Amino acid sequence: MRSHTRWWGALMVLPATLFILVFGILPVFYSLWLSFYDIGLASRTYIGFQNYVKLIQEPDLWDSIRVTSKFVVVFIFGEVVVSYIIALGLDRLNKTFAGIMLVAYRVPGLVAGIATIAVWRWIFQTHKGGLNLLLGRLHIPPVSWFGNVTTAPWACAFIIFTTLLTGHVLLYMAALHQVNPEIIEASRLDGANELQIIWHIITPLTQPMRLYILLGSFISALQVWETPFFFTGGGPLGASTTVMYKIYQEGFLGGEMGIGLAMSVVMALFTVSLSIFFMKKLKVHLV
Amino acid sequence: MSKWLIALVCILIALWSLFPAYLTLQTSLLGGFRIASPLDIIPHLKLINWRLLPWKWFLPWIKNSLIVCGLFAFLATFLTLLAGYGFAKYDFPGKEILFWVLLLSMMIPGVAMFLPKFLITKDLGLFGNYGGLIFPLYANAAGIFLIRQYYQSLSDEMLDAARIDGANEFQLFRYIVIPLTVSMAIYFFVGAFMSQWGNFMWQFIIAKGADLRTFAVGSALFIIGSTEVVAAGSAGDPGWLTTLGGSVAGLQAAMSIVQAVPILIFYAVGQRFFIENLRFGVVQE
Repeated sequence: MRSHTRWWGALMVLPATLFILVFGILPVFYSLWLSFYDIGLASRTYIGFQNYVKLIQEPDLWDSIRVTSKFVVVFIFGEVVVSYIIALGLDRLNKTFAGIMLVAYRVPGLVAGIATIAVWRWIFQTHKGGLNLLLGRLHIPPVSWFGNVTTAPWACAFIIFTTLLTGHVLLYMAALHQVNPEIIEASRLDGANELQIIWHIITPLTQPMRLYILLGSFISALQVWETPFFFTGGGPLGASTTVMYKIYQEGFLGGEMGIGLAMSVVMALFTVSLSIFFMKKLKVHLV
Repeated sequence: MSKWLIALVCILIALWSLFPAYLTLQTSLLGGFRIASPLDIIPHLKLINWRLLPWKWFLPWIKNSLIVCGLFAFLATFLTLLAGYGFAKYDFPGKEILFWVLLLSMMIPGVAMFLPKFLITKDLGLFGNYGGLIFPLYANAAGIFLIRQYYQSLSDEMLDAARIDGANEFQLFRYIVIPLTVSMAIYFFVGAFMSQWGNFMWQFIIAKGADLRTFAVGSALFIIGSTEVVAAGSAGDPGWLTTLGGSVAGLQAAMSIVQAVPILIFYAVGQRFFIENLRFGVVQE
């Protein structure tokens, strides 16, 4: 390659890199820097580690971590376990049939968010809500699903769960297609039954895809914000305040900006180390 | 026998997946939430909720959403293809470092960084304008890595032949590389557009005031708050809706469908490219 053409490469990479540096990477360092300041409307005073000290002492923080971990459990159960079982089932069926099912399975993931607020609000409504009408037929008294400390986080988690369980069926099916059918045939000849084949052969062979989905699932669970925003406002008594919703409260709803930024720093460190851990496990070679 | 059982379960899951969409549609047609069979809808069908939707609000919302999603999708597709090609086919000083920097960006979750990102956007003077709604969204290098692997397989002889014919490097990209990757470009464009159509959080935080309200923000606020529904009626008369035979739930359901339809259309259009490229992406795992 001629020497002057190499600068073209740098020129082509530059615009994208600039954007990613400013809006993708700088936020981490910016929040790290600002987290050592007390941020007022017009002034910034250096206060050292005080934001972090306050953060650790805040009981709300541990509550929000507890709420978020509930979401982590639900996300992993839906995306890693249930999706896989559905994919195993669908893989045994006629291709055209599976294709039609996959189209239907895509719908909840696509329209999740704004378009489903109305319907879920009605389902979990206390007075004449769908779920309570159903329970009423069984003579169970109505429950205030979003207004109750025990049920509010699980109701939120359930709403997301419905979009999770079919979300990764397609990815799992792609992984299943790569399993060599001769291995399965050989173990069948050796007398292994269906469940043994699934557990001892297919599951280990699809492990890379599972780890990949697990990482994505974990990270998306940490970022839950919209569901408490739309349905509960983080309440009651913070029972559905996720870590992200707490950051939003600190930054925008009259909390302390410094604490919100300190939380952002911890969040970034946690997810980056999580990614590195998984990438080592996956032995990803991106370079 | 067991195959039939599996098929039955799969169909039940499909019905379960479609159930919220069905419930929303029938509510917009019947007014008021209840569980009714499709046969029940036909005799009681009324379009009053659809007629009462504040259609005149939609135009500015759609305009804003088209500007935000369209410009972002264009910017993201162009920058991603360009950078992916630059990384795949050129050597330049500092390439290694840039590569690792971009790799790091992929591990930093976008939503989790919204607070410092918001402050940076504000410091750059992008708060409350289109720039703030568009530029900060380009923050992840995943697409660059995907396209880079694809471009590495392009033949160097072909590119050299064009060089000998006198094309400069940018012309090479514009007239040879892009035409070869149209399906990839469409995939990126559709994906970027779809990801922003429903991106409520960022648009809600950045777009202060009604002028910048996008379809995501406008429709979400309409669905959350019944006061917005009442405001849609004339003269602020709270009884207008019921006198006309509509209902808050029916209007909100109709609005939900209006919000979701573009996503489904875009998905249907982009699906061919999506599956084509997904298969490619999976092979790379």
